[in-house]
Amino acid sequence: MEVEVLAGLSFGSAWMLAWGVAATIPLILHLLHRRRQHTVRWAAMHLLMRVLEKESRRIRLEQWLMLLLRMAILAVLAVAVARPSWLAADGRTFGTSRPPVLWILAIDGSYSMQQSVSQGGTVFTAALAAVEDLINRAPEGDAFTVLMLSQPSRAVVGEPTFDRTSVLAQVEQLRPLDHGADMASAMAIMQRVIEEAEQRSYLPRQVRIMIYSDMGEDTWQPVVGGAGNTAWRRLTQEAQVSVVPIVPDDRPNYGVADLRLSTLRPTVGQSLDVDVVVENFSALPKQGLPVQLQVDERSVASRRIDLSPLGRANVHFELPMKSPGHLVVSAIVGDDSLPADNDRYVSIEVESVRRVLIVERQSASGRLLQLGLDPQPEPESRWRIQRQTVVEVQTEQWSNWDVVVLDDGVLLNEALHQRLYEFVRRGGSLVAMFGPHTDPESWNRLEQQRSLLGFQLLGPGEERDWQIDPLDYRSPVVSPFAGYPLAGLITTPLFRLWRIDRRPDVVVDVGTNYDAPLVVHRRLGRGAILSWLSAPQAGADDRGEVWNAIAAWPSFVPLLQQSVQALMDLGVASLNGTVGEPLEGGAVDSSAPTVRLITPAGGEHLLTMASSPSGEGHWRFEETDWHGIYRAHYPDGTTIPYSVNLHVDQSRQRRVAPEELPQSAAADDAREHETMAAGQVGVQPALARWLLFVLAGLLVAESLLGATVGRRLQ
Amino acid sequence: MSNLPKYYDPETLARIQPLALRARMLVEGVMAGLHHSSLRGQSIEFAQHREYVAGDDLRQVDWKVFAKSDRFYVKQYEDETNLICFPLVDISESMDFRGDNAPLTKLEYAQLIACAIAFVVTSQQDSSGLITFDHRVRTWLPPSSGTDIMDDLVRVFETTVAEGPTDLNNSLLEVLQGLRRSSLLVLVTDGLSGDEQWIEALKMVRLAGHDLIVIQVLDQDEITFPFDMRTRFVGLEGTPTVETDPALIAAAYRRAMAEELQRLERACSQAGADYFRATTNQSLAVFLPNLLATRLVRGKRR
Repeated sequence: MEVEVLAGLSFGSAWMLAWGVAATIPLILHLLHRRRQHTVRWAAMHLLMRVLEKESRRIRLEQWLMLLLRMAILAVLAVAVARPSWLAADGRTFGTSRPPVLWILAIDGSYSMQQSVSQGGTVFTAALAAVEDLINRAPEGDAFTVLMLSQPSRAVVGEPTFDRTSVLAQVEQLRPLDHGADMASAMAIMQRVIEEAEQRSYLPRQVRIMIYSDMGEDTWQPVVGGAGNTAWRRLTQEAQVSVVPIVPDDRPNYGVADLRLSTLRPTVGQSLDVDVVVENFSALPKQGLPVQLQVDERSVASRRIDLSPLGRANVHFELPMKSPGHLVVSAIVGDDSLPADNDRYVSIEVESVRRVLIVERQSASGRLLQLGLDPQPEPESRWRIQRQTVVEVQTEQWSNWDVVVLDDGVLLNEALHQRLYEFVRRGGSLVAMFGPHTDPESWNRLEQQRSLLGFQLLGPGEERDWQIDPLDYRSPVVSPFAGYPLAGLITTPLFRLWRIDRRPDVVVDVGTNYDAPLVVHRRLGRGAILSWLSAPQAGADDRGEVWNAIAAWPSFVPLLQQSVQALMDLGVASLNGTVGEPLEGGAVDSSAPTVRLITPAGGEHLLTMASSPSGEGHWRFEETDWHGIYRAHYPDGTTIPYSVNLHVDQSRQRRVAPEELPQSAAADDAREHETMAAGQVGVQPALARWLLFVLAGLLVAESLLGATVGRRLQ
Repeated sequence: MSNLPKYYDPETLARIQPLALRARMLVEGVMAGLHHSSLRGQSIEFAQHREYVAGDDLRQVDWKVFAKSDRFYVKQYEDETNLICFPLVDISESMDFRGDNAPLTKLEYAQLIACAIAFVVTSQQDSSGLITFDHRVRTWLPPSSGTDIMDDLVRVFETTVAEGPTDLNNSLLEVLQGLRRSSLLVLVTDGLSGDEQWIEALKMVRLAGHDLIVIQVLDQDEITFPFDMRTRFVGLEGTPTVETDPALIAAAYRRAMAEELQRLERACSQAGADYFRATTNQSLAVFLPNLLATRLVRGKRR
């Protein structure tokens, strides 16, 4: 509340003037003291009158002086705490130049802020310096909140505070993350702070928001023309918003935009296709940029490329897999002004051989499937396929197999269903074929007891010419067909399939034109189950039913092989994520209490394993704020590397001009505004400060007078 | 000696009514004090020899002189010069003051002093009278060496009311005009008249051939000024009433009082008068022996 009392004289906290009433306390005490007296008959009156005559003038003077000093002390104190200001005729302001302000200081923490600047340091450190400068120069009485624009944005100092020392300590510890920056969540935090401040009478009424950013388009586009526009306008109505652009000069910046591997679960001896997409994010050409391929942080290949301004280059490597185990393949380009985007990682699991067990409905009924998986068996084949009937597998050790394929019509008993369930949970892959020989009641009963497939079989769909829908080839099951419409996928003959009622966690890989899925998968524990709802046939079965002619079509072999490959890759896909996404893992033995997770920066986190209803241990790590390799160490000695990469959108240095911001946020005069906000007070001593000096002088005078009078009284 | 303090203690004396009993108690104390201190006789100074005449006390014959000269001579002592003593007691209104912590008013204290003096004087075969005054002489008891003088003193004091203003100068002049013989005047007053002329009158007393002792009786509060809250001082003897914060002037008052007392003491010294100061809470056991030892028992100073 700012109140102008006289022309030019105003008070930041006029209600504090009420304390001025306290100035009358000495006067009241004085008068009360005068009223209390007692009477004495006095003999030595001549002497007393002589003394009084001699001393009365001095006493009266001292009394009034003391009274005035004490009243003045209280009055000056009341005026000082009321934050006075005086606007002189020439426009100069004396005293506190403005009422106190609640500052909401937002620092762009996206990884593009890590770009180095020619003056030394980074854009982020320059932003921090500006924030610290503002805090240091802000007058007493200002409150602060600090937040960092991130994905999502987070409050650093969420509760407004007047304690600038602690605010500075928090700001000093800030580090940019490898995220982007989400303005929507930042504006939500700002709005919350404003609303809460309105309800707290002790906080300043005036709110000013300062945003320090490199104005990356990725951050600001939602404000300029997207969903954040409305929130921004509301914010600018409720507070004075200023954007301080800290834009680095155009310096070389290259990055690994993508790192693609032909599979995440290759076998030993298999040659992995590795494609590295390198992008030049700057407008400066680059020749001879080294691109290095590493496996487990050891360089295995390198190449030099030329990049045109803002151009991209695809670098292909072939990476032979020599030994089994978990590996991290990474691509790295040379150092530049923004190191964060110079590397990219992919976690893979190399197997010695792919072991597949086909469980047949009856002897030899699975031959088609075996042929589809390994059409030309060779001694050095990476497939090791075996067929067994249901009776034979009763005693089978499931741990000997990577993939189990259930032929159409296999009837499982409860014990076998239980064993398959455990097999998948422990990381196995299960392919289930459903066709004319399937007994839906048996499956549905088992599914009700223990959900393995993730759906109930409703019944065979009507017989018609179904057409396969590849669903934009998003699924790895059909992704190799992308760009090859004549490869036979879409024209695959399909006449009938099972209709299902699926759980939400069941994902459709291949659909049909009648919105009924053909291939679905579901993750369970460390493994996954992929179901074909129309088992491949080469013609009419032994009962004369024809559901499809998939096995006779050219798409059969790649489709079946991709199904198994995609299924196996699913178990490794969870090892690869992006910054901000949680890492998750599990252990079959939930009795293992903790997992030790080592972050790329070397930080160590002990994660407690939560037990799922199925008894499986499960852990989750949310703070993937930096890209790189996170290694999970299990109590049994197993170490699984997780690769976390950043979105390179922030590296593409498209920026939003401050003028483009709606209701322009005072972006142009941000620096001037900042200077005005903090600097004026720093240069001119506040009137309140002068008043405090006066107060100190009055206190000293009162003490001296009191001591003098006291001495005389003794 | 163990019983002496009770005779002199103002607290004890204040509890005794009427004045006759109070005076008797004091007198007993004085007698006991004289007996025990063997002052009697020792203070009678030898003056000269004279030839024996019939009727003289044979105990007074100086046998040593007889042995040398074969003639009878008797010793003649100073006390035989028949001292006449007048206690001059101030009975003005200011003498009626008694502080919160004092057992007696200044007048009551002065009356006891006067009784004690009269007793000592008469017990030495001398004569004592009494003069009371305020702005003028109010009572004049002629001197007598008999014991009935004590009864006269008590009678006078019991009918005395302190109510008039003080005029020491006028009273002293009046006393001087009334005295026929050289006398020992013991002025018992608080000396707070505010009139400085009486100090000049002290010199007149000496010039007139009288001996003078000034005993200033004050209340302890008049010296220490112990008040700490705002006080309304009602003036006695027609002085005005004033209100003030005593704490602010206490130090100045005490300094002024000290100066006043020193000035009076100095004036007495210059006038050839002995000066004594007594406060009403002070035990007479301290004050009286000093007074008696220094002046009264030695008789009149030449």
